[in-house]
Amino acid sequence: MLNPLDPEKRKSEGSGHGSRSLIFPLSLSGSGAVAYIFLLPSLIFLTVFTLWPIISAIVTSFHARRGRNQVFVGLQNYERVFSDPLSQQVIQNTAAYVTAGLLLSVIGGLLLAILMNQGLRNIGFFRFPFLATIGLPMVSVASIWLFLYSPRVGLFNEILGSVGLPRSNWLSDPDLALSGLFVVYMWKQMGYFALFYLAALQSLPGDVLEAATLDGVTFWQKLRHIIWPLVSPTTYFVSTIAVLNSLQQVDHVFVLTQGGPNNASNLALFYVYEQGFKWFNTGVAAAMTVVLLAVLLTMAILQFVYLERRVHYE
Amino acid sequence: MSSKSMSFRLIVLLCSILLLIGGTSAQEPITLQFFYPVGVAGPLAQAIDSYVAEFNATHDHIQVEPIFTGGYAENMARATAAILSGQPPDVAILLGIDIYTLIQLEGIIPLDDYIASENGLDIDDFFEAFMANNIADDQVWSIPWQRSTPILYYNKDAFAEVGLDPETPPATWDELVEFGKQLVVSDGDNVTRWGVEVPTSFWIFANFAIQAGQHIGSLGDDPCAVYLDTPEAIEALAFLRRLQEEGVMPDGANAWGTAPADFIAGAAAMIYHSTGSLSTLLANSPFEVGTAFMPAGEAGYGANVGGGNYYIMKDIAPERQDAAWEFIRWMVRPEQIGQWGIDSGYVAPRNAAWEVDPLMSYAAEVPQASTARFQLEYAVKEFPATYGGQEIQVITTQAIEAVNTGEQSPADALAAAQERANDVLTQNGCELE
Repeated sequence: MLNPLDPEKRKSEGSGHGSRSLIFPLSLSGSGAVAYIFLLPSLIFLTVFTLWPIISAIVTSFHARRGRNQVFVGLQNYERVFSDPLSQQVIQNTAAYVTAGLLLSVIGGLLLAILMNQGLRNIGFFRFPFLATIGLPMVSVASIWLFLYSPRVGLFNEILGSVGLPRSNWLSDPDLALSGLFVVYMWKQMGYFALFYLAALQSLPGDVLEAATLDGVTFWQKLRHIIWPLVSPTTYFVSTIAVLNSLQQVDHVFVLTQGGPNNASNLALFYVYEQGFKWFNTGVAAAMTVVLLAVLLTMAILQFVYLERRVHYE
Repeated sequence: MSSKSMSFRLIVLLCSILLLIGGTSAQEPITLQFFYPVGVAGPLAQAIDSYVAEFNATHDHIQVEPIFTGGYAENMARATAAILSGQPPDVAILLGIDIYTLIQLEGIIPLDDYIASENGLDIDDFFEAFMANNIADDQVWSIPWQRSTPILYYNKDAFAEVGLDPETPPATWDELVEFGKQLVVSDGDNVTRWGVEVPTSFWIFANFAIQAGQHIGSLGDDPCAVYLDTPEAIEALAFLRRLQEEGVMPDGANAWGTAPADFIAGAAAMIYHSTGSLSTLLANSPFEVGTAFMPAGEAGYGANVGGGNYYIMKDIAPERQDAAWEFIRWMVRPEQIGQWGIDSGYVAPRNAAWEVDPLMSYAAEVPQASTARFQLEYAVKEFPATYGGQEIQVITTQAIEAVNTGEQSPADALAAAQERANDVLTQNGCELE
């Protein structure tokens, strides 16, 4: 009888103690212990700043604050996140913002990178303005745009007024406020995404593109059939970063609209801030956080499993 | 101002040197943390810091550390976080309407014993309207400090320019529309001067509802009362929309901070704003500034009081609470709170302040300073003095935004707001019918 679980048997088969402890680093002997010591600092930081907050958010999301006390309320906070008209609107706003952010980061980033990749003299001079915005803090960017958008003395309305077009109250118009935020975000971050594409474009095989040009292939055909497939690893990377980035946007909401008018530009993170730190509805804030976390995790797994497999062209 | 605060700093410096020379033999002073917000335009933080410096310079055993915490909402958020974490400040200026939230948090103490004590305070000297938000369960929980009502500011030069009498501001809603129309200046399709600008804010809206005949908040001691969907409130909000439809007021939502800037720049001939902005508007407007009661609606004049009070925190040692009381008593002395009224524009909240200098001679010189005081006759308790008031403020303002941007009708917006407010109240333990 061959029992694979029989310790005697396994011991006699013993394919080498050292190699096993590398595969099963749980044993504290030899290199496993050393590995743990080296990993310990990261482990501590991960636990304190990532794992513990996640657990604490999940626990808090089942509670509501009454005065100073937390009382257990079951799924009530999640009900609120999924049925309350305000949070519905916030989720819709966020979905629109993230989708637009994803599309424009990829398409705009790639086109901008192609422009920046032209073999012009002094191309650095043209690249600079697009890349300079990356380094600016969002709060200062938003403060500047606040003046540009200002309804009565702002630059945009001055320009519109001077050519006889009607002026807009950009950030106070429920149809325009969210787009107003989005333009600021894209103005700042487009160059960032273009930078990745620029690096990818510069590592493309020149001979393939040259051969295509000699064969009379148009620009759009080159873009569609050569460049787009070849930069797909970058597209994968950029789309992941773009989704994360646009979900994390809160600074400009704070400075420009405070989520208004009437929540037209309220985004998920600002909602969490308002619920959690303005009104101390910590349970609702935690529930929304957990939902966001679940969405992000699902996306990360999907992208990992699905996209990772097909993006690489050998 | 600045030379004054310089001299205070000098005094502080000298005192600290003296202390150093004298050694540390003296009793260790109590250091109080003092949170305060600034809710209106102007260099008010400097004023408060200079008063505190003077207090510190004249008190050996108490040193107050002033901590500027932003606007009212951030200030309350910081105070709440501090209370919940068990590390409260010792004394804080917080909104009068936050009283029930603070009681619910077990964050503050009632002050009746201090008021009645040997080192007490003549609480009856304070204006009744300014005490309305300070009393709950028949106890006094805070002492008025930066108190205000909104008033109507108008540009007298603009009135004269269009043939209106600069000494006759609009007295009724209809006159407000009528005068407003005359004051509008357009350049083609673009309006370069609006007739009136009413900030999109729960605090301003409440006045219109009172003028229409029904306050949106409780007049008594009821932390669960919100009346947003009454016919009077709907009428008030419809009037705000009418101002826009008649082309008198800019379309869309109007930011609280934009109105004073537009007024000074001549882009709005009249604005509704806190009397706390008076000093800034008087000092910076290149024209003569008129002040008036807010025009009357069907139910006559009406005003919603507002502003911040001194609170003493609960989770601190009794000797710190005593020290905090001494600080408050010093700050609300008639001369001191009168000076504050001059520096800021807030209504000095007690009779005695108006009967001594510096405020007495200032009021004689600057008649605009008394408008809000006389309007107090028509003033009532501030909205929303409820549980979850910070959230109900925002909900109410959002309903006004929805109407001012043409998104919803007044009735729909206010019905939705009432429902959301009820939800907040229920979450906070109110039992609504």
